[in-house]
Amino acid sequence: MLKIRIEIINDLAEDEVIICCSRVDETIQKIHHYVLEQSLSKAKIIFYKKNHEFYFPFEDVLFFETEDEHIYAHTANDAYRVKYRLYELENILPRYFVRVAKSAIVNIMQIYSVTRNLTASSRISFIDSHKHVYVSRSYYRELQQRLDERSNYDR
Amino acid sequence: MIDKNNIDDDNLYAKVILSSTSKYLHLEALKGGQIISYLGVVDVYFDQVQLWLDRTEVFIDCILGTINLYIPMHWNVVNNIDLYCSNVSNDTTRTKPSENAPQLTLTGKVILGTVSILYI
Repeated sequence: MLKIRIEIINDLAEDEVIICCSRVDETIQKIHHYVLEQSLSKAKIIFYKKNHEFYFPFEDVLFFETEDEHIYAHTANDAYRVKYRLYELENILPRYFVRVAKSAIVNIMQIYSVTRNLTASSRISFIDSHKHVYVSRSYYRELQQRLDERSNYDR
Repeated sequence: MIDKNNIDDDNLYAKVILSSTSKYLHLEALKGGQIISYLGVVDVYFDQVQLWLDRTEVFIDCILGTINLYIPMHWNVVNNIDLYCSNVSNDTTRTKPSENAPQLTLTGKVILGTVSILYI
């Protein structure tokens, strides 16, 4: 059983997590990974539409997709340009985002259904949105795994 | 699979063969386009696009496939598609848009396929 201690230091410039342990085992690695994830999920990006800049949390994004040379973040009823490539987004997005095609990364917390299709791709529907994304066969297994782990990503 | 050849930035071109894709349009002046589905499924979303001079024609070529068109509720849609053992589903119960509303004209052919016009 791990000891957990939270120290509140009033004049600390930046929050810090220190893990004290005699060796780095699987549990420590998981904790380390989780803390890293939490700090990354606080990363923010700017969403652009015409001459407006928008600041809203990743949670509101259903998916990111490439269209021509641009990357768009789709919310339930709108779409915004972002200035990152998909592979860059993969590194900064919280773990509840997963690549489902060469051209799309989806937020699994916003998925309402996945419909198997007679053709190669399955179709994702989102909560309270008319939008859909198709999953490439090569990404389907990873998506299923992430969906199975979905309770771990509860915010 | 979407191929784009000899198509300028103001036109839509979506082609699918034995596959499925979603195409979200983000153009400020859509001048025209082609949607081709052979044994595949294409979803095209028009809700983030504006039509060039409010009048645009899109050519449909669908054989044994499905094309789903997501179109703003206030647009007029003129269906001039030739059908061969196929159907175009179109919600006729919605409130009729004004005559000055943007107009999307659909032409082309559907053979043993389905085109769905879905208003959003």
